[in-house]
Amino acid sequence: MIFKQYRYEPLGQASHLVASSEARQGFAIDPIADLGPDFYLLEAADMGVTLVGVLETHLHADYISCARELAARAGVPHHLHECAAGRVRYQFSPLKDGQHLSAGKVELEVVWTPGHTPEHVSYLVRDRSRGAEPWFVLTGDSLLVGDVGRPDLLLGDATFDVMDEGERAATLYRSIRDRLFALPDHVEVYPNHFGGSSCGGINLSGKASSTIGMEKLLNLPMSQPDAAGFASFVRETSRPVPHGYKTIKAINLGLAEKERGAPAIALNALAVDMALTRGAVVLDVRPALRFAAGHLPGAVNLQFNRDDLADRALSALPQDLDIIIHGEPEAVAGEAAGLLTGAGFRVAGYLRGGLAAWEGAGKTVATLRVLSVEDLRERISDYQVIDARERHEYRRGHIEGAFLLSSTSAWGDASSVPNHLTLAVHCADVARGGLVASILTRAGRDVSLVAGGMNAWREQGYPEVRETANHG
Amino acid sequence: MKVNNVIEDRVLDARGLMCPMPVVKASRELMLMQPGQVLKVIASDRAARTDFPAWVEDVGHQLLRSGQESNGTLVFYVRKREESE
Repeated sequence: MIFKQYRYEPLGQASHLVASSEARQGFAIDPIADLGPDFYLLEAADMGVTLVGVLETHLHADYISCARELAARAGVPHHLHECAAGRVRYQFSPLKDGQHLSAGKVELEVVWTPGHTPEHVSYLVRDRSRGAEPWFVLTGDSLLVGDVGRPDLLLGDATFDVMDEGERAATLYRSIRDRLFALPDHVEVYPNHFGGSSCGGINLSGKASSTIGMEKLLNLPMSQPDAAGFASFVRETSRPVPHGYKTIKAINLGLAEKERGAPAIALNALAVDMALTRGAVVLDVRPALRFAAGHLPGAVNLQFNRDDLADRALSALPQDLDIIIHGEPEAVAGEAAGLLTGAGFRVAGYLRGGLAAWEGAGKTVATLRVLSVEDLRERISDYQVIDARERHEYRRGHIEGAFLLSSTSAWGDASSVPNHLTLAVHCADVARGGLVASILTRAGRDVSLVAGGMNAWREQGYPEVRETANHG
Repeated sequence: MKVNNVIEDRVLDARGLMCPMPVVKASRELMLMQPGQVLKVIASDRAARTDFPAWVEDVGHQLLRSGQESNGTLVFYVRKREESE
């Protein structure tokens, strides 16, 4: 038996490869476009395995699948549950509940587990060279570790969604209770998602495997007394819906093409440097304090967060910039590039190899001074304090003499800042401060970033100025 | 969902968003609503507890009710102000 779990951390997604070590044949399950068909073909080739099928547990709404391309490249069938027929706009090899697929003595049994989506199946795996007992189950987005797949990602079109959210939740509950929890306790569980994936809820574990016995004991949604309790628990503990899920699902159904623009290009330090001389802007999506410790000169700091990076970029930056992303690890840069391209920004590519590659190429690294609130309080007269929060936050309490330059208006208003030798920029914590400090640095100002911001200032009991709200 | 006989007209799920997006998005939602309609905002950021009411007061909407659920999420019910105010 050969078994590999490929964990793609930026999306909390796990794809799998199951193969027979004797027959050297195997299956790829739920391959993701972010890794790409080449990745799976090379992995299989490295192990001397020939793919005999590409399987999907279901049609995904949170990442773009590469199952079709991989199956075409390998010249093997692309398998989905039969009830995907009529909904997807491409040919596939339909699977029935209870059907067996074999690679040598490794056997996958199709277990229909609808709920997250109507065509959702799990794959129960046996290694008959060891015995007939099932060993593990690939549960897709049905049973997750500590949680379950959300049942509410509906396209809103009856052609594609045969059940509403409430029905789906009840169906998912029965699928898990009657099909998966009927398996022996020792059977291992390998789901499609872990960690921060928005296909699970707030109870989703960062660990990407478990056992049926463990989940029967401690899975919170499945500990609810009945299907109705399960449905409301799942609804109350879900995360925000995945960014652009309708588009992603439409692509996976074959109704839409993958992004119109080219995928993000990895640029070496030389290429980035050339783009900068032509006026491109580096968008550094690392946390503010890592940005402060070293970044590309002139870079703008906007910390990555999958759920709102595009929205924050839209609220803070003009769309007509030529952007180069600096993110570490690079997978984050790639994802940031995708999110910003989707929001209409022009993304030229991302820096390959991160800051180390930039430094290794002999390029200058800029830094941003960081002050503690104690430093600031002690030498407050040396600084013009810049408050990067919104007006309502400023009114509720700010440092005396602070100039309000909200992160959402700093790009356009940087020149309005009083001309004072050194600026000390803060926000509530540090993320928006990093953005505004980087914009002011680009504007040629001498800037320090206050770590901990207003929260730390208040914790120290330092004085603040309050304004009363002015209605209308 | 009813809270003290308040029924929301729209729901904004702002969980997982960084500052100042919960407020920016709530502002955008309210702009699309009619005066007197109620927006329910769900937030996970602890700073929202004081921040969000401050913003509502600042822009002249009415905070009908706020609370914290057992799983830690915060919920606010905001009634959109009349245009004349």
